[in-house]
Amino acid sequence: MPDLPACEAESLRKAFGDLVAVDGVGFRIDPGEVYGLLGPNGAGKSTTISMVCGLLHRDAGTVFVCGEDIDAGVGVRRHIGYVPQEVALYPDLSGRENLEFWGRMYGLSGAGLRRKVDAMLETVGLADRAQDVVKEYSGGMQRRLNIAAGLLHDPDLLVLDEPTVGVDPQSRHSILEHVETLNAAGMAVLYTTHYMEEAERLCDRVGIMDEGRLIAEGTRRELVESTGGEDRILLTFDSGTDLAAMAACAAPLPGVTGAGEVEGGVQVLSPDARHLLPVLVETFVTAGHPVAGVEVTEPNLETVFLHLTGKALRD
Amino acid sequence: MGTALVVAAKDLRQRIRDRSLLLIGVVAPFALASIVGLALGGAGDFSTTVAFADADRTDLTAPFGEVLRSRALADVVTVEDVKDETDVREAIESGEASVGIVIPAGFTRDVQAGRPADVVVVVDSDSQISAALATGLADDFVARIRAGQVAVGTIAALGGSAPADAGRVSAEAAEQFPQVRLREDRTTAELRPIDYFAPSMGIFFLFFAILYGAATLQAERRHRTLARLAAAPVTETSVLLGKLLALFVTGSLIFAVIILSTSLAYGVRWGDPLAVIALAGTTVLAAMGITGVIAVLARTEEQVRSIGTAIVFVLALAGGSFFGGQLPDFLRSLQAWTPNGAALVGFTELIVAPGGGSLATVWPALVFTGAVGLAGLAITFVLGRRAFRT
Repeated sequence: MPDLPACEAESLRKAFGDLVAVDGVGFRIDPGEVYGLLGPNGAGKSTTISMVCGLLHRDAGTVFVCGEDIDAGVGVRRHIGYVPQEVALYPDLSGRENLEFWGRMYGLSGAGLRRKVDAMLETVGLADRAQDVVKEYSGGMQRRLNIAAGLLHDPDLLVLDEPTVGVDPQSRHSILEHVETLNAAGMAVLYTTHYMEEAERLCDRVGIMDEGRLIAEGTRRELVESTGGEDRILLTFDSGTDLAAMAACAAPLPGVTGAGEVEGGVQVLSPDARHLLPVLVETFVTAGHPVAGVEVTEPNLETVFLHLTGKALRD
Repeated sequence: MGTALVVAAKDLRQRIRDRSLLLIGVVAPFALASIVGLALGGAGDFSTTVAFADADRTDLTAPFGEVLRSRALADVVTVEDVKDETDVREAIESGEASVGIVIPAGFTRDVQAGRPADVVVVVDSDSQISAALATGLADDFVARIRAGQVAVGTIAALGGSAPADAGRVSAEAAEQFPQVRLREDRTTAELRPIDYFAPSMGIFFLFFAILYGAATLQAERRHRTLARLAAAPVTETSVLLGKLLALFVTGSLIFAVIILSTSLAYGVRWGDPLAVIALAGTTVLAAMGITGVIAVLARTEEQVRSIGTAIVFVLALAGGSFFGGQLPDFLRSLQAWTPNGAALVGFTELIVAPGGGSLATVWPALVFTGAVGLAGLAITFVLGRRAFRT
């Protein structure tokens, strides 16, 4: 049934006591699409994913995977390949034994299972370490095996929860490449991250989450345009400078649409950075705070998030 | 069921690789039972007193008494002559003799008339080596009489036949005479220390081994594999069933090793096999039920082990695991109300029971340990299923 969405979530809500972790979140992922949930830590991404995969009871809302209600029975979960944020493997079993176990949990068996495990070990570059116990693997190797365990059964929807957190650059690159390959083969992917670059690289569409709510959704272009397509100017100052005061100083200037303190400096948003920059520098010099460095970047998801929330993605 | 078997196989593989299981489940109980049993049981040169009643007093039976009093056995066997089987039993019960041999009145007459005739060896369960010696001597006596019967029968049957028929004729003669039988009769006696500590330490360490196995439920949480299992197309029930199945197999293997090793090394007679298997099974269930509840109520693997260890020790103390059968009165009444204590009572009753007892000997222990096990497992299932999804 190619027309059915790979995933359709509506009005998801989850509260832990007084804390509302997810509030009214909904999205749709089409077959073959990579959908990213982008937001800072604590935004509610993992909670959302847990509800989508049926790991967490929802307070409200519905989830359909490949047209089937996630509550319809355990069989629905065959459509999903879930890769948790942290490595979820048995450290005292070998890489092969882990994959064989998880394959069996998804109904694989016999020669088919062995073939699939061999292929997957080859794909993630662990064929020569297949007999070693997982606790002897490096962090990157464990991450790769962690993803492999979610892919054995060829799911329709691959759910990746921050798969690159704490991973070395080489393994990170390998993971992203692997996701791109899977997507090219037609697999739908739900990908959560707080790394803007990953979302920009991988995702066809992105949902931006903050404080449990989905505050914007669309393609990268749509999101950037929705914020006016502003440039971002990052100004750095001598150490000890009151960055909050500098941001407040920049905010009222003509051509400034947003200003805020970020890690190591002040970020200013403007539709035309080239004209604004001399004015900004002069303002700070006049105020007795010479600018130590300037960096101008084209609008991206980071600036979208800043525009929408008034804070940086990694705050 | 397929999922449960896969989970059980995975858990068993993990348990086998965990060397602590070998230490806790096999080495420790055997070693501790041996040390305590031997320390309390005493050791040294062997000698024994045999209460001997030759109630028949004929030329046929007299040589056996002479053998018992012979110089060859003088260093090992002291013979206490008594009148009949009643006196033999009294001698054993009073501790004057360790084992008894009875040749009943009319034995020679029965042998000569071709009727079944018994030599009775009365065995004190507390004196396995003495029992083996007396049984061996009596067995030899019975074999000699039977050989004599066959010889006489053969000569009579041959008459004028050719010697070539001797083999056939002697076989026929052997079949003509009813068996002269050796009947072994165990008395109910006090336990040897090893008879007590074998089941006691077996149960004690069984609870530990099962506790450590039950902690794997929390380990699944720590390794995040619980969430992955919850996301898989399998039911919580089948996963829990698999984990419990692995625990049951582990516990049963541990008990089997304890039973076999103490039987072979120390001659512990565990009793009727069916009753032993049934009681071992319900004891494993009880251990699973109690440690399962601890595992699902705790928040971490460390909590399971620390709280569980404390509870197992309290149960062991209350259940009399460390007292070698000499329980203070208040503990004796408490013992029956702990599953491990009830199981220990059951096992020791089987060990001392004449003929090794039966299911009827241990039904209270079976019912109690089984009930505790099933109740604990029911709670484990209800709470364990919730642990999958929060």
